[in-house]
Amino acid sequence: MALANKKLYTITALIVILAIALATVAWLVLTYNSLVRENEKVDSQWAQVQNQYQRKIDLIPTLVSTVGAYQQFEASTLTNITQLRTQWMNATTTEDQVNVTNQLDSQLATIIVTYENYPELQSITAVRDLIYELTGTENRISVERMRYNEYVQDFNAHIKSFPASFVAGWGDFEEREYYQSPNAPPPP
Amino acid sequence: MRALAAPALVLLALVLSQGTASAEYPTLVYYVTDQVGVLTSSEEFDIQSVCVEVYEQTGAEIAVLVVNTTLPDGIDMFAVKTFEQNGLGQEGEDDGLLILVSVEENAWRIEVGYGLEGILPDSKVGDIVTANLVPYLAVSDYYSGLYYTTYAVGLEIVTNYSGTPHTSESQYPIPWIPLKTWQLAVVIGAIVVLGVLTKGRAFLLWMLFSRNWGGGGKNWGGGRSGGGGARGRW
Repeated sequence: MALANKKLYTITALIVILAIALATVAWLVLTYNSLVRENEKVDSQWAQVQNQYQRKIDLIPTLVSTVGAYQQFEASTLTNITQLRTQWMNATTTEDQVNVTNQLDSQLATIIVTYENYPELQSITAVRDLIYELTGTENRISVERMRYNEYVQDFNAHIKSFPASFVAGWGDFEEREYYQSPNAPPPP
Repeated sequence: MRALAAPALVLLALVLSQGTASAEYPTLVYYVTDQVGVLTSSEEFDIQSVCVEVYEQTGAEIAVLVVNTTLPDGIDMFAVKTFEQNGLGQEGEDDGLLILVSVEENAWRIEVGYGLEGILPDSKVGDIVTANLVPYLAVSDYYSGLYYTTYAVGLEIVTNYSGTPHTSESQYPIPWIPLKTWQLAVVIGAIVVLGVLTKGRAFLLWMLFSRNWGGGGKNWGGGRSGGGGARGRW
C-alpha cells in the first residue's frame, strides 16, 4: 500500500514538472515569436516611410517644371532641389537618405512660403495642385515616421521588460533606433 | 434622505461622465459630430443623409467633425489620430474619409483613408475644398460649406470607387438607433411610463446612461489612413 502511494506521488510530481517545463518552453517560443514580429513591424514601417520619401522625390520634376514658369520662385531654390534629388538617388545608406530629405525639406519649405506670400499664385490651378500634393506628401511622411517611432517604442519597451528581457538577450534582439527629426527634441 | 437622493444621483452622473469622457480625441458617434454648435440638427441630418447614401452604395465611410481647436496637436496630427481612434472605413479596404473643421484656428483638413487615395489624390481634394468649402467658411456659412464638400467628395467616391454596398442599415426606422419599429415603440413606451410613475425623476437616470448609450451609434469599420488629403485655412 505504502509502495503504491509512493509511486503515485512520483508520477504526480513528474507530471507537474513536465507541465511546468512545457509551459516554460511554450512561453519562450511565444515571446520569441512576438519579438520577431514586432521587430519586423519596425522594418516594414520604415519601408513605408521610404515609400513616402520616394513619392516626394518623384514629385520634383513636375515641381521644377511647373513652378519654374513663375518668377516669384527663386531659381536658386529650384537648382538646389534638382541637385538634392540627384543626391538622393545616389544615396546608398538610410542615413544619407535621411540627411538629403532633411535638406530637401528646408528648400521645399521656401517654395511653400513663397506660395503663401503671393495670393496671385494661389489662383493658378497647376501651382495650387502641386502645393497640395507637396504638403500632402510631407504630411504622409510625418505620419509614417510617427508610426515608425511608435513601433520602435513598443519593441524597445518589450525587450526591456521582465521577463521578456531574457528571451531578448538570448535571441540577440537589440534596441531599435528612433527617427529623430532635425528640429525636434528626441523622443523619450 | 429622499431629499438627498436626487442631488446625489446628479453628482454620480457627473462623476461617471467625467470618467468615460477621458478619450484624448473625439469619439465620432455618428456621421456628423459638431462639438461647437455651428449646425442645427436638421442641417446635420442633411449632411448625414449624404454620408448614409455613400455608405450604402460603396461601404465608404465619410465623417464630418467640427471642433473648437485642434491644439496642441495641430490639425494634421489631430485628424490622423481621430481617424485612427475611430477607424473610419472598412477594415482592409481603408475607405474612410474625415472632413475636419477647427473653428478657432480657421483651419480645415480632409484626411483620406489609404483605400481612397487613388481616386482622391491630394490635388483633387484641394480643388474640391477650394471650390466648395473655403468660400462658405469665409462667410461663416458652415452648413453650405460642409454640405457641398461632403456632396462633392461623396459624388467622387460613388462615381469612381467600387466598394462593397451596405444596405443593411436601412432596415431601422432611425438609422443610428439599431432598433426595429416595434422595439422602438416598446422603449419609448417604457420611458414614458417610467417618467410618469416616478414624476420625472427617472430622467435623472438618463443622465447616467446617456453617455454609454451614445457610444452605440455608428460602428465604424476599422479602416486606416496615412496622412493623405489636404489642409488649409480660410
